[in-house]
Amino acid sequence: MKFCVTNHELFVGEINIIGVGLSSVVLVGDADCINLGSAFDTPPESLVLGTSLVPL
Amino acid sequence: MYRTSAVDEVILNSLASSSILQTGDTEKIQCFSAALAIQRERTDFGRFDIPLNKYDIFSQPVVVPVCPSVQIKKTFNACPFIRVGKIDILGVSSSALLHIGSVNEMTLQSRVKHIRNFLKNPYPEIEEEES
Repeated sequence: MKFCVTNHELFVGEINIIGVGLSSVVLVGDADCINLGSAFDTPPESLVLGTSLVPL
Repeated sequence: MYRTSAVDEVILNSLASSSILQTGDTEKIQCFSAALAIQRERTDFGRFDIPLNKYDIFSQPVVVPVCPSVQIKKTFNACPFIRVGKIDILGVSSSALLHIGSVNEMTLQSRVKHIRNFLKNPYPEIEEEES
């Protein structure tokens, strides 16, 4: 694969973000390789009754 | 090869839970976050002794696409700067990253398990319909 990039002027006035969470990225710059992965588990089974929270 | 990032002003309210504010270039970054979010009906402090490996979500692999190897990459920077006037962020948390500068490689991963804990079933009518 041949890949040619020409970067011209890049100017951003203002960035306003409420929150960056759970292995997310705010990047001001160049990057070669970014790998992001996320697993989020809230099934109906996550409702636990009683006092023991550890699965059997 | 990389451009220079120029940020005039950064306003960051809070940086929590192994988060990073990095200014400058980086070769490699690896972050990992594992969270067990427990919402309990009754507060019971000081008695949590839960091994994370009991839950599948912390041991299962997360499938992440692999970057294809670029054989020929040519970058021409007509303007060698990335300019940003102001960055205003309220919060960065849980192994998240605010990076000003260039990165060669970054790998971030997060796993979250939510548990709602009630002492008795709050939805008895639903269970009756199912059975």
